[in-house]
Parts: sequence; structure tokens; C-alpha cells
Amino acid sequence: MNKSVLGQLIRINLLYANPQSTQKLRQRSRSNRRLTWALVRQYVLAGLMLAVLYGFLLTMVDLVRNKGLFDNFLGVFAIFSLSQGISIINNVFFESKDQAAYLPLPISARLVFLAKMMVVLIAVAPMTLPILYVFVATGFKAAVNPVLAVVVGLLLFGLVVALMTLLGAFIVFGLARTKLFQQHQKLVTFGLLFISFAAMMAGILMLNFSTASTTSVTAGIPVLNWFHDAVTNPLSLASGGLIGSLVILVAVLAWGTDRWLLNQFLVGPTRSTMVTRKPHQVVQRSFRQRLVRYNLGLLQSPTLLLQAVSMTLLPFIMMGAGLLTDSHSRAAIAALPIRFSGLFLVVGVLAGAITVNSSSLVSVSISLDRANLEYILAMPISLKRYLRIKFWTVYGVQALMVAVLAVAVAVFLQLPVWHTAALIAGLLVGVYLMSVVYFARDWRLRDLDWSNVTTLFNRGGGNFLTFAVIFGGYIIGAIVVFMDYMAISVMGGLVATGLVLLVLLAVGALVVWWFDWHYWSAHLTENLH
Amino acid sequence: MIRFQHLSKHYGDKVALADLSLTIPSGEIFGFLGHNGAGKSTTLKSLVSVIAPTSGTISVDDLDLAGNRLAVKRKIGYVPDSPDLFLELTAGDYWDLLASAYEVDPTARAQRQDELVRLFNMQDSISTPMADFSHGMRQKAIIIGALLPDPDVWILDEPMTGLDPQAAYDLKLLMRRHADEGKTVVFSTHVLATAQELCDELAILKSGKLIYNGRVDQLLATMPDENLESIYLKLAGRPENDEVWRELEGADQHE
Repeated sequence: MNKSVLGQLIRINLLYANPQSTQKLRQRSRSNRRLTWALVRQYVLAGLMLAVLYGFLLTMVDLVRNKGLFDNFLGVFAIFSLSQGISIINNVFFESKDQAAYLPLPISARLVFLAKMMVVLIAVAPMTLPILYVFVATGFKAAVNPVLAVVVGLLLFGLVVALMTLLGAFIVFGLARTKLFQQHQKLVTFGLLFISFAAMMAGILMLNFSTASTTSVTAGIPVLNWFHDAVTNPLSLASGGLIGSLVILVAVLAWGTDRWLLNQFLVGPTRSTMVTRKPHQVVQRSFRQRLVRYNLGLLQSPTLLLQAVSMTLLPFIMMGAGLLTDSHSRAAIAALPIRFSGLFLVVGVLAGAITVNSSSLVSVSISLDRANLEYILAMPISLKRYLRIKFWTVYGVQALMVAVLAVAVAVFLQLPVWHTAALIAGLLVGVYLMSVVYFARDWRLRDLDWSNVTTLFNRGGGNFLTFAVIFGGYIIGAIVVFMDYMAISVMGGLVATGLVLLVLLAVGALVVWWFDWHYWSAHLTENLH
Repeated sequence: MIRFQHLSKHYGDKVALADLSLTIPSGEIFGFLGHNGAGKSTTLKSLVSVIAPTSGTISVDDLDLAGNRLAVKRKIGYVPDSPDLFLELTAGDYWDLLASAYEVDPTARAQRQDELVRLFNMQDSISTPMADFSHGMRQKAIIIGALLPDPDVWILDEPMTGLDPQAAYDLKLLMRRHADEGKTVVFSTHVLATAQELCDELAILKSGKLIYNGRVDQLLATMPDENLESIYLKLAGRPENDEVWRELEGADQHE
């Protein structure tokens, strides 16, 4: 095996593992070698931070006695590594679309496959470092010989990471063989990535919940209890049995990888051209309907959708984590009488506003046109009308996403219908107002030559702006909600809500006036250059 | 008839087009020639509303472009310099979009599309996403799309790039047929043999300035022993004995 070629291949494929990190680090104009190390350092640092954070939380818990928490922790981080593995495998093997580029080169496909799998391990292992911490710390606490505790901890950690990575590979490659994937590649990939993301988020919430109740001792999950037994009593027969079983399982999956996945890789990725298509039929649709469909089509990129969905969910999760774990707050919110519906409207506006950020669909929708936008200018449609159709189409998707989320939250909180309706109305207004702002921002920063959609998220201090808006929104939101609550309590629901509506109307009118009348009429000509 | 009057385009200090004035008569094939950056694409993109000129006016059939943008756009079918467009759509969806944008009569559209699809041998590719096409196939799809509304003015920016010999030949015939029907064909090219073969009239641009505008036969008649390539190079090219050539010749002698 040529080690220098393997090293080069690993370096190249590291760039694909997390395109957004790569893009951000590249913007700091790093040389290729430094970029590689910066990427590796980022993975290791993230893993260490997780290990330190959860390590600190777990110092307060007796993991030897509390099997349940041990199992929860192991289970959640195993899911973490699986979901991280799925996302990285998808990026490195499928999204990179680089397989054909290696074909003319004197490099074996096996070496390329190996390099890609090693990149997956490099990216997955650090994120699961807390498992190593739990294994070793539990061993120490159980008074196991420290050297033995470290060796067994390392061995089990390695086996868990390998197992999860190989499972991830089987899931992604297995899915790629299905007819469904071949026909709807983008949507299925998004579904897969979204499920991984949702599992990760659920894991974080579960961890918060279980570390919040560290005093209760629970029995745990039978299969994961074996790990507990192996760590606390490494010289037992059960421990040997577990390690032996894991080694066999990993070996079988590794053999299967070599036998089936490598073969699939050698044959080449399934191309959509191989799919039998229905013959084209001219369907009578208006030009507007066709533009709506075209703009919806532009949104069907798994990376874009995942980023947009996750960044829409993030403020909800950050805000809702406390509510989800506190049944008293939930009951108090659900019991608020009808006169407080105005409060839900205000919460909706604020929550809606902070779900729109530089990664939202509406914030990149103009740039998604790329060269098409020039061509559309040559068509007999005014740019203004085209952008209007685009805005409402993408706003519709964004608003629908947030409304569905709001219904889920309302059902979970058992909110009455009037509160739910006020919350959704507020969300739609909040999303609209911020969408107007970010749509104009996309026009101002428009990039029609991008090669990776992640470039669009980082324009104009994108991430900083996003978090500034979210945290600023929380602070302002808390003040406004408190004031509104007090106003309703003092003046009554009707008057306070009336006042809120007036303020909303004024703010809304100001935003619409500024952007629709002032900004666009000053900046929108019928040409691009 | 297309009329450019004192058309200029500046990008900061850089002059992309300087005071271009010329008239393109109907029923002719008109070619723009020039090196890279000479101003050919700037002129064509100004005509199709992609670029806003810094100054000057453009009119098509006596309709001022700035005041009648949509009406002028309806007259124009455009083939841009890059066919990497609407990759998310199938070829059929792309043509549907154009047909509805130009409000093409469904019967006429079906007939025209069928004829063009057969001509460019794309019968089996109508349901294929543009993303899966080769450069040449995308170019064919864009050409078919531009012709669906049977435009009065057909504008093509470097249209021969990537086309196979048969498709290039067919495209030239289509351009000629379009002009013979009394419509206008305007294109830019680097292929001088194509320009000589196709153009009734041409304009040569150099660094944003018009250095020649006239009929091809008249231009060829001025130097009867030369072809368009050598005439073009004399007008717009590098002087034969310039520094670069002297250096290259010097290097040859050393070897």
C-alpha cells in the first residue's frame, strides 16, 4: 500500500466530510496542509469539549451504582456516532461525487475506499470521546486496576466506534441500492440526514433530562448493562464474552463491507440516468405555476434543506428544552386563560422572527438561481414579478415548516385551540417580517457563481448574525413577553392585545414600507449588472 | 431591425463597451467578432436585458428597450454563452416553462418542438434532467427552447461551442432559414470560418470599440486574396512583428 497516496487521499476526503467547516476554514485562506490539520484539530477539539462538559456533569454521579444513567449515556453517544457516521459517509462517498475523477489515475479503488472510511473514523471518533471517558471513569470508580480500566475502556470504545461506523456504512450504502433512493435521491438523502439530526437532537434532550435527574437510580437497558458489567468487572467471563462478541460482530461487518460495499463502490454510484423515467407530458399550467414549481425544485438540495430545517428548529430546541423537561411549566402554560391569547401572538411573532436567519431558505433563495437568473431576465417577465413569485413561494415553505413545528409544540403542551391559533398567526407574521429582511439581504449579497451551497450560509458574517439574532431575540423576547403579561394582567386581555396588534401593525408597516417601497425601488433595476 | 445608439458600458474605470452605434437590418444574419473581452457578450447581454448599459439606447423594431422591456423581450429568443441552465428541470419541463413564458400557442409549439427535437435527435432525452446532459446536449436543449416562440430576433452567444458536427451544421441551416423568413439572427463567435460562411453583415469589436461594421462580401472584396481570418487578424489581432512574436522567434533561433 502506498502510504503517501493514502495520506493524500485522506487529506482530500477530509475536505468533503464537513463542507461547511471546510468552507469556513478556507475563507481564512489556509494552505492545503494547514487546512487539513485545522479540520482534524476541529474534530478533536469538539470531542474534547464534549468529553470535558459531560465528564464534569458525570463527576457528580456514581455511575457504578447508577446503571441506568450509564446506559443512557452510552446509548445516546452510540446514536451520536451512528448519526454522525451516516452524515459523514453520505458526504464523503456520495455528495463528493469524486469517484469518476479517480478512475483514470493509477490508484486502486480499494485504496480510495479505505481512505474514505478512515476519514469517516477520524470525524466520528472524537465526537464519541465521552464514551471513553465514561468507560474509564466507571472502571476507576469501581476500583478496577487503572491500567486494566484504561485498556478495557479503550478497547470497548474502539469497538463501539467501529461498530457504529460500519453500521452507518451499511445503512447508507443499503439505502443507495433501493429504487426509492434512485428515483428521489435528493429527498431520500435529506430524509436520512434529517432522521440522523433528529436522533442527535433527541439524544441531547435525553441527556439533559437524565443529567438533570442524577439522584434517581435506575436499572438500565439489558444489552447496554453488559458494557457496565464489562467495565466494572473486566476480568469476568461476561466481560470476555462481550468483547469477543463485539470483535466477531465488527469482523463480520468489516468482511461484509469488503465483500458488498466495496463492490458497490467499484461498480460506481447509481446514476439517475439509469432510472427509467416516465415520458414527458405537457401539462397545462400557467407561467406563474411553472415558476413556483421551478423555485420549489431549487430548494431540493439535502444540504440546504437540512441546514434550513436544523436552523429553524434550533431556536425552538434551545428555547423549548426547559419546557420539555419541566411538567409544572407545561401545565401552567396550558392553563393560561383565553385573555392571554395575545401573549401567544407576541411569543409567536418573536419566535417566528428568530427562526429566520442567514441559513433559512428565504435567505439564499435568489442566489440559488445561479446563472438561471440572467436567463430569466431575458424572458418576457419583469424581474420584480419574478422575485415576488419567488419570495412568496419560499416564504410559504418556511412558514409551513414553522407552522407544523408550532402545531407539534402546541399538541405537546396541550394548548387550547385559541392559544394555538394565536401562536401560529404570530409565527406567520414573525417569519414574514424577517423573511422580507433576509430576502433583501440575499439580493444585496447575491452570489450566482457558488459551487457549494454552504458558501451561501456564511456570507456577510452569517453565523455570527444568526446567533446574535437568536440571543438578541431571547433577551428582547423575554422583556416584551413580561411586559405583555403584565399589561394583560393589569389592563385585561382585550385592551392589551389591541395595543399589541397596533404596535405589530406599525412595526410591520414600517418594515414593509422600508423594504418594499424604499429598498427595492432603489436597488431593483431590470438588469443584473 | 435592431438599433444601438451610443451604447456604453463601464465597470468602474474599466470600459467594456465604448459608444457603440450600429444598425442590424431584419432578414439578415449578423455576427459580432472580437477577442475575449472585446465587448461582444456585453452588447448581446445589453440587448437581452441582462446588463444595464451605462449610457446609450437600444431599440428593436422601433421599440425602445428601456421603455418597452417586456414587449421587446417577447420578440427575442436567446441562447446564452453557457448552457448550464435550469439543471434541476428536465428538457421537457424547461421547454414548458419557456412556452408558457412566451405564451406560445400549444399547437404551434407542439409542431415546432417535434420538428426541432427530431432535428437534434433528442427524442429520447425529453424526460432527462438537464443536469444529466453533456455540454452539447444542453446547448441543443437551449437552442430548441429559444426557437419555440419562433422569435423575430434570435440571439446566440457563441452557439457552436460543444456541438457535434451534425448539430453545428443543422444549427447553421436553422439560422439561415430563420433569416430567410425575414427575421433577424444575431450571434457572436470566435470561429471565423463560421462567420465567413454564415454572416451577411458583421461587426468587429476591439477593447470595447467598434472597429469595423459592414457587409462580409464587401470586406472580403477589399482583400481578394485573403480569407476572413487573416483580414480579422490584420484588423483586430496582434501586429505580426510585435514584441511577443520577436521573443518567440528569438527563442526558436536559440534552439
